[in-house]
This record gives sequence, structure tokens and C-alpha cells, in this order.
Amino acid sequence: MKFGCFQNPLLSGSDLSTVIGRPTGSSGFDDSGQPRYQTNRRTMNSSDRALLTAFREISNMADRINLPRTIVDRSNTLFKQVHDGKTLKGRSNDAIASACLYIACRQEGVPRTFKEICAVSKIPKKEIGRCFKLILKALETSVDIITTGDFMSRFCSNLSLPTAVQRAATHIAKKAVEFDLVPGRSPISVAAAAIYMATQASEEKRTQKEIGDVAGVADVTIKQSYKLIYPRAHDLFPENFKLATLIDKLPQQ
Amino acid sequence: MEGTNVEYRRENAMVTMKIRRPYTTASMWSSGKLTVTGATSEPDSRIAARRFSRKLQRLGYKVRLANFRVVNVLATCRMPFAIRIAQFSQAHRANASYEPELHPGVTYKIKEIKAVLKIFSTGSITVTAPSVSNVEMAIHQIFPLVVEHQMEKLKVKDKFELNVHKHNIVAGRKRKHRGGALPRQLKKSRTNEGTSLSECDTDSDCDSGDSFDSNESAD
Repeated sequence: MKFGCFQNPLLSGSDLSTVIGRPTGSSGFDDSGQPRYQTNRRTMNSSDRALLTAFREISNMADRINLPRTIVDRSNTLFKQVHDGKTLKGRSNDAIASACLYIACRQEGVPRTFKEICAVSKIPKKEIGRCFKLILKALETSVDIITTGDFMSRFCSNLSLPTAVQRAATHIAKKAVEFDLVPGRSPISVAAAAIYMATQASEEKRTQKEIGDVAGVADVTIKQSYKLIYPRAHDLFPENFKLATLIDKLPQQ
Repeated sequence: MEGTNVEYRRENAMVTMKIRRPYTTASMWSSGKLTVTGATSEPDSRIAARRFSRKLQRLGYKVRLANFRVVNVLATCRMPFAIRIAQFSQAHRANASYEPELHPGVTYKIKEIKAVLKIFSTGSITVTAPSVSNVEMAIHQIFPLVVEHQMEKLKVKDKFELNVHKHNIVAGRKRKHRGGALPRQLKKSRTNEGTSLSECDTDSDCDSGDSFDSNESAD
């Protein structure tokens, strides 16, 4: 028996309840060598079985994209809050779990795109988006808007680009947004176009298709955004960037 | 019941019927309720509802138009300037929601008049509200907010009017001659029927929209 042991504080009531623990020594087994007394799986998760399933699901999803424990914990907390509020009761728990994971990533300052969350979840992007908006309303929170810089390090390391190129791409994207060259374009597309420009100017060239694969953006979208930033290419590059290919020789689309 | 301009969808349990003048579509349910969409003004949608009920009467059903109400009005307009929607959404965190991954426009909700506005970076704005007067109030309210975050572009065209194209007025309930439940709330219908539909060449409809004229928009 265990008295007032450490339960998951998110689960049903973190009071000092007594739980029958697993037996130790030989008394736990009966004559045929099988364990006596199955662990109290029936009594443990009385009211919040759904919570446990969801937590497991969140953990699995986070595992697939290597998210740190902090994000998983935050996501679990969000899920519990949403579950207690009961406003999103009719929605699929998996959808709410995916949306909570998305919000947790955003709140920790390392947002993941909806497409990345879609890749590890069986819920369609539309539904995750809907749940996302509903959760924000239910919890009365808001999230910061995504910027191009949030995704640079991840996309660039997935493309195995050197830090100089990454810095250049970050600078290009930031300037492009500052100069309002790309109004109405998603920051992801702008980031992808910036990476394309930076890679084309350096020695490590990448095709639009490769970048599109990593960023979850169609290559025609990269082409569109690239066409918008190309005219001001001179102003977008950082000063101390070594150009393997001259700016005038950059591809025009 | 036969009809050449009628479509029966079993999955939604409703009949869709179209008439040419005014160009509208009616969704009919077996309970006798009717949803009329596509009219370009409130009186027009009432006329359309009455035309539909006349057609049904001609077919032999004993019906009467009851409980007609305009439920949803969709309108679009364009500002003569581009808008910085990222800044705008930051400034109006409470009412505005901007998710570039989900939708390219800012969704701004005005609770008091129950209006939802979608504001795009090109300067065009779509308004959905329960009535035409609410639409006008919404635009009056949003204009000063949006002007603060305009983008100074050099290629400003010389059109300084705000043309409010009112189109797609979703309306109505019609009942058969027996008592019934209260009418339900409607879903919004899409505005993609094309501006040609509402190209108010009778400017009488656009008049009230043009009430704030070039003076205001000139700065």
C-alpha cells in the first residue's frame, strides 16, 4: 500500500488518497507462479480515463517530432483546462490534443506550422485550425503572431545549411517583411523564399522543391514570393555575406 | 413534385429551386421552411420569397408566406489604400484574429452589432451582419481603425469612393398554413457568386453605402 504517493497532479484530485500498490516478494504470486492481484487498473482512472488517453496521444505526437518535455507538460495542462471547461465537449479528443500541442509550441516561443502538427496527427488541418480558435476563445488567451525568424533554424538545419546561410536567410526575410514587399503572404512562404535566395547566393544551393518539402510549402508558392523579393535583392542581403553567386546572377524565379 | 428548375438532394433532405428575376435560390424543407439566398437588397429578397411561394401555390400546395425575416447580409467593400494587417491585428488583440496559415485576412468581430469583418491586406473588406443597417454601422466603425494602419503606397489609383457592393442577402422563413416551431438560425452563405451579380448599376442600392464620401477617404 502507498499512502499519499505522488500522482500525476493533472489527474483527478491530487489529494492524499491511498492506493494499493504492487506486492513485493513471493507473496505476490500464487502457487502456479502467476501474479496475484492485477494492478488496480480498474479503480485508478475512474473519472479521467479520457484525460489519460489524451496525454498519451500528446506524448506520442510530441515524440514523433522530438519536442521537449516542457512543451508536452504545457500541452497537457492546456488539455486539462479545456477538458474541465467542457466548452469543446463535442469535438474529437485527438483534435483537441493536436490543437493543444500546437498552442503549447506557440506559447513556448518555438511555433510549429499546422502542417507539421498534421504530419504527426491523423486530424486534418482544417479541424485542428477550428479547434485552435475554439480553444483560444474558451481559455480566453491569445498567442503571438508567427514571424519568419521562428522557423529559420529548424528549416535550415533540416536542409543542413551552414550558419552563415541561415543568418543571411533570416536577415533577408526580416527585411522583406519590414519593407512590406510581401503583403498578405504567409510568413512560412516568405521564410522559404528567403532561404531560397540565400542558398542560391551561396555555395550550398537548394532547389525550390527541396525547400518546399521541408517547409510544407508548394514550390509555386515559393516562386511567387521569390518573384516579389527578387527586385530588392541588393537591399535584403546582410552586409558581411560572402556571395558565391553574384546578386545579378541570381535566378529570376 | 416536378419542376425543371428544381434540384432534390436526399442527403440534405432539401429541394433547391432557382428563379430568374430576381436571381435567387431557395432551399426548401418538408417542414415548409424556406431559405432564400442571392438577392441584392432586402425588399428584393422579400419579393423573391413571395415569388417562390406563388410558384408553390400554383403547384397546388396550400401555402402562405409567414415569418419573413432577413437573417444574414454579406457585403464587400474596398478601401482605397492597402492595410498592414499584422500591425492591425496586434493593435486589436481583443477583437481581431489573424492566422496567416489558416486565412490570409484578419477576422474582426464587433459584438454589439453582431458583425464579422474580414479585412485583407489589399484593402478589401467583407462584412457579414444580420441586416443592411448593421453592415453600414460596421463599416463606419471599422474605417477609422483601419485608416490608422494604412500602407502608404505610391501607386494609389484615383478612385476615392467606397463602393459598398451589397450582395447575397440571405433571408427568410416561410411557413405552411399550420403552427410550427420557431425558425432556426441560418448558416452564412458564401459570397463567391461574383460581383457581377450585385454590380449595382442601379446606384439606388449603393447610395446608403456611399454616404461617407470622398471627403473622409481623401486622407
